[in-house]
Amino acid sequence: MNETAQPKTNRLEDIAAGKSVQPVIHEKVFEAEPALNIQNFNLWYGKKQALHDITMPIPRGEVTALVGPSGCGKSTLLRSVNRMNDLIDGLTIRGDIQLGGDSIFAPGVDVIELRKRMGMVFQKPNPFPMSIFENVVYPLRIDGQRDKKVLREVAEQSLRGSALWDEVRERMHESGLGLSGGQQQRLCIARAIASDPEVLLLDEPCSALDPLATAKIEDLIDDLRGEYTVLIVTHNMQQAARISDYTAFMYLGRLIEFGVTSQIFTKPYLSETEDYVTGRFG
Amino acid sequence: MASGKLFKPSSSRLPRGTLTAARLLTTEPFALHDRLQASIQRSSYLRHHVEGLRYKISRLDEHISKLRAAVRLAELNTESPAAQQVEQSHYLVEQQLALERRAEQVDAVIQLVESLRGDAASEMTDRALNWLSATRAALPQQITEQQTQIDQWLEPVGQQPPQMQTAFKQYLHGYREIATEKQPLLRELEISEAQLALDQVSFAVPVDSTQLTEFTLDEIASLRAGKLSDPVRERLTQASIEAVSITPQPLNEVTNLFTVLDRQGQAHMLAVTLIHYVAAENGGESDEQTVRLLSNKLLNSSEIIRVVAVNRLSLGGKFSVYFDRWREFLTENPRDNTEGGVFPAIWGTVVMTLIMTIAVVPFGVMAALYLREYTHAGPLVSLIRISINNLAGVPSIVYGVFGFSFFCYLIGAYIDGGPKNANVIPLPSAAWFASMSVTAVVGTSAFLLSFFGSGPAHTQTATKRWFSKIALVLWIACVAAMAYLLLKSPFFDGFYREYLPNPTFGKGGLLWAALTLSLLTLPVVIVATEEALAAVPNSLREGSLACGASKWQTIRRIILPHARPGILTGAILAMARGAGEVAPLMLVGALPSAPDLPLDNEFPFFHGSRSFMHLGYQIYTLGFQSPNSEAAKPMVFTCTLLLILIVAALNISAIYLRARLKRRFQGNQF
Repeated sequence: MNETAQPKTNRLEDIAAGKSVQPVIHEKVFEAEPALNIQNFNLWYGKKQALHDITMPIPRGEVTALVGPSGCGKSTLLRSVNRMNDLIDGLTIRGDIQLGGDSIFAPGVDVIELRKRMGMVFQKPNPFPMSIFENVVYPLRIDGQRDKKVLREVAEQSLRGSALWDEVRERMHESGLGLSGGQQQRLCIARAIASDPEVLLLDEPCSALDPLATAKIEDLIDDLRGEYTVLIVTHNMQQAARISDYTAFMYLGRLIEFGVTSQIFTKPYLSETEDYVTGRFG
Repeated sequence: MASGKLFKPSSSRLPRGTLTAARLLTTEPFALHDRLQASIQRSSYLRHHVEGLRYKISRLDEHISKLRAAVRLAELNTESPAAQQVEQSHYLVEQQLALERRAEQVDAVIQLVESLRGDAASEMTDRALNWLSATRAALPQQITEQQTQIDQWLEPVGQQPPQMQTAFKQYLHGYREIATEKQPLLRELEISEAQLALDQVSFAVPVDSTQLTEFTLDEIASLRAGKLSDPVRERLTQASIEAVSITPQPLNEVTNLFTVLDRQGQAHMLAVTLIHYVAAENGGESDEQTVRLLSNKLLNSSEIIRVVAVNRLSLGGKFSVYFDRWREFLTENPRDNTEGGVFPAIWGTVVMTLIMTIAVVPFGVMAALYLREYTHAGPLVSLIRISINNLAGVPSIVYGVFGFSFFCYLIGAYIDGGPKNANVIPLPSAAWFASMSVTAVVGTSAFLLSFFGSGPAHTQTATKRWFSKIALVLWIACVAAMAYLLLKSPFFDGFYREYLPNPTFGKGGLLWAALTLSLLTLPVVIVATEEALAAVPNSLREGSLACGASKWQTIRRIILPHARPGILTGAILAMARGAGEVAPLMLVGALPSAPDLPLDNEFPFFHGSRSFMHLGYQIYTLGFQSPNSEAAKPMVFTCTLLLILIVAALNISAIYLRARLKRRFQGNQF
């Protein structure tokens, strides 16, 4: 769409100076069928604007990575998708996000139902102080599911899905807090996929983990591809390059460039993106 | 606890040569000990019997007062005075009962006389029999007359409304039954009481432990030498001496001391050997006479609580005495003011603290949840927080005054007899209905406004915010108006008006005391719960919400379980604070002596309107209100120790609980 020529000035400096800059979105992005559609989305914390006019279609069944320096609004965007930001006081939004074609901000939308359609995994593993089994079936429990057979099936499925089953099958009724950090994070992923969501939101899921655990999680995300639409925030460029199909580069609340990962990392349209992904900036 | 030395002095101080004399002197007197024990057993059995009888009779009296209350209620409902009939019917029914009893007696006498006549018939017996049968024959007539009189009395009742009639008939019937049931009990009580009064121990020498004078060594030497010097003899044999002053230390080397504790808490020392000794000196008069001579008063055996043969106590015996006194202290009712046990006080303290906890924890937790989870900083929240901090700083006596005036005089009196009894002038019914409908309109509009004003944060507009603000104000107004209208209702006459002017809930009682203390401990619970809620990691809240849990589900399934140790700690700290508080209780229901337990095995098991005893208050009354504060001293200190132990135990269990539950959330084992 916005396939303008390379600008003369540095866009990042312009943004820092407060100027509005048009994002560059690769055409290939629009070819895929979007699961989530972010349209001209603006967000203010009180008077401070955190997101500027973000427009991003998130392709269905693919892994989309959000990269950018700290404070660029990646997490805010991610948390807007399942409306976790509703909990914050003095929040104002403009624009829209659509899930499967329906606006998530429409007046009749039930936030709880919406969140059930999206699994979310946080930066720090946050298993509940319950048994492993109860942790996984928590989304079903709050739906009032009591059937032991169903619960057991879902628990097994989700734990297999998060590649944790073989490690915990013998100790399903021990506390989830007794697992290692990587196992805890995979437990959280199991919990996130237990309610069979459409979209999986991962907020820097590996930042608190060691390389081995990170590798396992990355393998897992690779396995989840196709089944779920994954939106992942990461600071790790290699990780983004390894696991994602699409990558979006954000800076100070604005989308700079969004395209197919291979292209972003090898031949981005913008020199600023290249600087960032190669580590010359940020 | 009573004074009295329970320790055997070392016999090493006993000079050679006196042992034989001592043994000689000690053989016989132990029979006295056994006699004493036997009489104590007998009298304690009798005392229990009397207590049981009194209890049964008081239950029956309670039945009667309930029946009378039913009549009174009917009287109030039908507005037809019946008090006179009630009084009169008492009298008539009792007379009738007396006649029936007399018939039975006469029958018995006739039988007796007839059985005697078989041996020797005489004119006398015949005449007696004639007279008896004439009396007997006249009795049924009199009974029927009595019945007609009762019926006559009932006649005006027959014109009364039917409710009154039934109540009245039930009263008469019930009274008759109860009086019949009560009669043998009363007779038995009379006999038992007389038996108790007659069972006296006539060999007690009262020794006031505070007036002990010392015997000089010379005097003791002369005692040992088998001679009584004149001054000693004088002192011991004075029939009128108020207290025979014996220094136990040297004397119990040659005598056998029993400490005898009476119901007034006075310790009597029985210097048995000495008495025998003096008896021998006096020329071999019999024990009893000498003892009578020596003792300045007779001791009723029912007054004796325990006898301990001090010189015969083994180590185990000493321990058993020691623990028996602890058992008595912890499990028995108080005798008079300064003696016996404090069981009702312990029970009252425990029950009151439990009710207080049940009342305070839900409120405290709800308030903390509101402050921490539901609301955001603002003037209202600041106001609430300031109020809570102020509550924590208010002197406890102020709570007492508040509880007394609000719970007892307003709510209690309202429950008893409606608005009029609580000195509230009820609204005229038209005005009341009008205000009620206004309140209903206000409530409905508040509901509608809050409905329109609700919604997630991003959909909020200025209008919506105004809507919810107005709705809040309207809600508060509506609740206040409801409370006001309830208080001013012209249609409520109370639940206990038949007992008026005796208050049921309109005086200090267990329930009001517990509620007053729950106000006092509310800040403790709120602050502790808030801290516990603040300690729940935010990641858990977010994790739960991201799973699609609602706010309440998150609170119930994640936050509250996680905060439970802190909440429990707060509850236990509140219990400790409440258990040790005395000042408010003086105003709202604690009494120095309240034998009826607030929680017992009588229906309805929990008696919230009853006064109760409290350990802290017990300390106060014992130490500062009892006539003999010196005698009460040991009791004061023991009660204090007990109270400190209870509070310490509560605090320690709070610490333990916190540590245990914390482990549970950190470890990997459940």
